[in-house]
Amino acid sequence: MTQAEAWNTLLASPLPWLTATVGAYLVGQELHQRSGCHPLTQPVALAASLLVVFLLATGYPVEAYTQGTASLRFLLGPATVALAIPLYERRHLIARTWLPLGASLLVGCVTAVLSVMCLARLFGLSDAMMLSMSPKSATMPVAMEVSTQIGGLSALTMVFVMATGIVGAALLDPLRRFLPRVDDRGLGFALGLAAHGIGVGRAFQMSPVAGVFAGLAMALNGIATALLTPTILALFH
Amino acid sequence: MSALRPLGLLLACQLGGELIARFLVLPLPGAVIGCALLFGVLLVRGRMPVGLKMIADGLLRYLPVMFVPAGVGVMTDVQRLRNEWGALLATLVLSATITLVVTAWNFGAVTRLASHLASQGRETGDDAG
Repeated sequence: MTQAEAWNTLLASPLPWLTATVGAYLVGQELHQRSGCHPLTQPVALAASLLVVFLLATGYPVEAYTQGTASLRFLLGPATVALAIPLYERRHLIARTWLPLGASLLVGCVTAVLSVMCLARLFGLSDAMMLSMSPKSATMPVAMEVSTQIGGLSALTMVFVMATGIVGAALLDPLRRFLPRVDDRGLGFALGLAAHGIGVGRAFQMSPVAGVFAGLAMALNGIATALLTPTILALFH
Repeated sequence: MSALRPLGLLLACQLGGELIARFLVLPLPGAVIGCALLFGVLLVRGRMPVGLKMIADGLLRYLPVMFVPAGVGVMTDVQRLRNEWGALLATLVLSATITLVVTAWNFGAVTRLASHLASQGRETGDDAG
């Protein structure tokens, strides 16, 4: 076997790509911590940029990378199923505050999805973009699944989900000033619903109570977005 | 303590969800139905199986690593994003703002309404609320 062949068989296996992905993520995490956990330096975005630069520099096709890391994508399914665990642990809290939780979940989820459709129409976005952006407030694995199901592009959805998280987290302080009567539970819930995992992280920085409600909102809105998006889309048309 | 049983439970719930989604032709991701199934299983058992929380925490904590490939995949769509970036940004930022304000306001309003109803219930001696 020549050296080139040996190299090519290695590149056809998932090993180098998975190693590169985990390595790039670790670098992203390190940079994120050095920036003082600034919301604009998400480890995922940094890691993806590093890998894009690497692929462009070496000329390896993106497809080789995508195929090599298919196993990581598979894990999104079990991760979605695992959302049941934080919900189960907070079942008493859900039972106690079911009315504001249920009402805000329904209103928030419909607002998140419908506002994208209306604004997309208003600003003249293409249908592919509108569909890919509709589930942007849901947690990533759910958003990508929903996007694929309604005819969006999951790679684009991932960018929108990420951007929504960053924007949502940055909007917490103005939101607090704008709605001084809403307590930490309401702010946390809104942050988790609108800005998923990144919002939950930001909410925990504000207070533990806000964080708990944000986590709850993220899990609940994942389910609500999956349930409601196809219906909202059908009604919108 | 075996980590295999909780892993099996997670996968079985997802598989059950996929089967339900496919055979009933539901417009729902199978994993989301699997999430509901797991929630049901936990409620029926009444306790968290040993090791399940550990696996779930690990999965959820390192969730972002699983998104890196999708982030790299965006490379092929960069041109489309560039063509519509202004409208995309406006839609995204406005939608996120509206969602946050509406949800937070709604939560505050319904909480006040619920406590108002509760106190009214106490005054009239009606504990149904």
